[in-house]
Amino acid sequence: MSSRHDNVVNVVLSYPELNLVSSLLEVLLEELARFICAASAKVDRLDDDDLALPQKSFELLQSYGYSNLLNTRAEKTTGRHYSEIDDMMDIDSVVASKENVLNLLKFCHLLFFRLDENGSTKSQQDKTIQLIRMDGQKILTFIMLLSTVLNEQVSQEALRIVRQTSSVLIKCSKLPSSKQSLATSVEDETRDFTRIIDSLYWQQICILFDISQSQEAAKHKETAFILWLGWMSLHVHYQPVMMDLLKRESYWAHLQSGLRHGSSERRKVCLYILLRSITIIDQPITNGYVFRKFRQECLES
Amino acid sequence: MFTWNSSKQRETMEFWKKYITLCELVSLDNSLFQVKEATKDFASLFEKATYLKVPSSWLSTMLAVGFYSKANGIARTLCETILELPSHSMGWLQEEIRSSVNTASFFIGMIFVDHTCAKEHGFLTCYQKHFCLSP
Repeated sequence: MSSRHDNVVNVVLSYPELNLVSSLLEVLLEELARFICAASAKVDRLDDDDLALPQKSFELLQSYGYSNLLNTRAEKTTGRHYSEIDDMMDIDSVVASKENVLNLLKFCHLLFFRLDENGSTKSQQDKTIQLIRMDGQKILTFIMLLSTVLNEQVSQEALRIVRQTSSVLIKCSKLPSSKQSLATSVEDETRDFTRIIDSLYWQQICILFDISQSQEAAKHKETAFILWLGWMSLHVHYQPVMMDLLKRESYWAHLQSGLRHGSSERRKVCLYILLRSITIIDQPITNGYVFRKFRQECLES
Repeated sequence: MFTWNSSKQRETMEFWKKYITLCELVSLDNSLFQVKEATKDFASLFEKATYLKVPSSWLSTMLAVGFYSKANGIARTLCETILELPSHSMGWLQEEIRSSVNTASFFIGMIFVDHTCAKEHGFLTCYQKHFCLSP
């Protein structure tokens, strides 16, 4: 299966037209959204279908403009390349199955892995930079939402791609490109991407903590810490957004709770997050965290 | 509460680095000897926490990690180490006791984690002697 995906990635990256690659990614995302929306629409409870998105993630998905995919088939109008890829990847466009979702995710992972590789030519690099600048944010947002499904394979694969996408996004935003507008400097672009990435990560971590309160999604607390760890490992942040987050009670409450109640593996993760967090601080912090959170937490447990 | 005093930036950073090191120490399997040797480090960390106004919940979290550690002997050794500390190093506990519902489980962990330890010191004596409080 992986060599098949490898071939597809090769085909995609050999397309001369950047817009074509970009619209292919668009189609892939729409396919993924369609599968997930279909799974989400037919369930009353999350564990009825482990590909269904929790309500909060589903609402976010809709707010990103994927809601129309529920009833309509994504149009694949751009010709022979897409049918070629569909055939190569063995995508069954009718059935929303775990295999289909995993196939698409594996393809995305390979694509980003390839984009992250060194040694590509200047023109390929330039193409990559443009591509990521066009679609990176959308891809990252969508794949992050996929990490909230109950299916462990899909959730784990999504987490891997989020990590890969984030690092490619940051790396690409730091490189100058020939088509870069004179009005925007490399620093501006990097700042823009890191601002988006930082906000997205925290938003997604909060969703994961929130849904992990229900019994069927309890394991997503672990997913939240893994996502948090990946975020802190990026080492590139947008300071004003980070300071805003670090001043919140919930940031430290979640961290302290992970340290106190977690397994030894989670404790290690929390200590790393703590270390990274304190190195980011550059302003005084005094928030009203006190012990209310813990008191409430202990009374509830 | 999480506090960060920018005018004491260097000391605050050192405090948290030491905090992380000691947390790692009490949660590792093979650090028994190091925990025994770290009495002074715990004392200095606790005193620094009071000076820097670090919320006491972080300190009780660190001790709770050690008390509930599954590693052989860590809980008992940590308990003994903490009981050796001078009472002024443990002043932060008063804040923790006043503010936290974790107090009960904290003391159960601390005093009764090991029968020998409890027998040797006794709950009331420990409570009064080391934390300057009436039970």
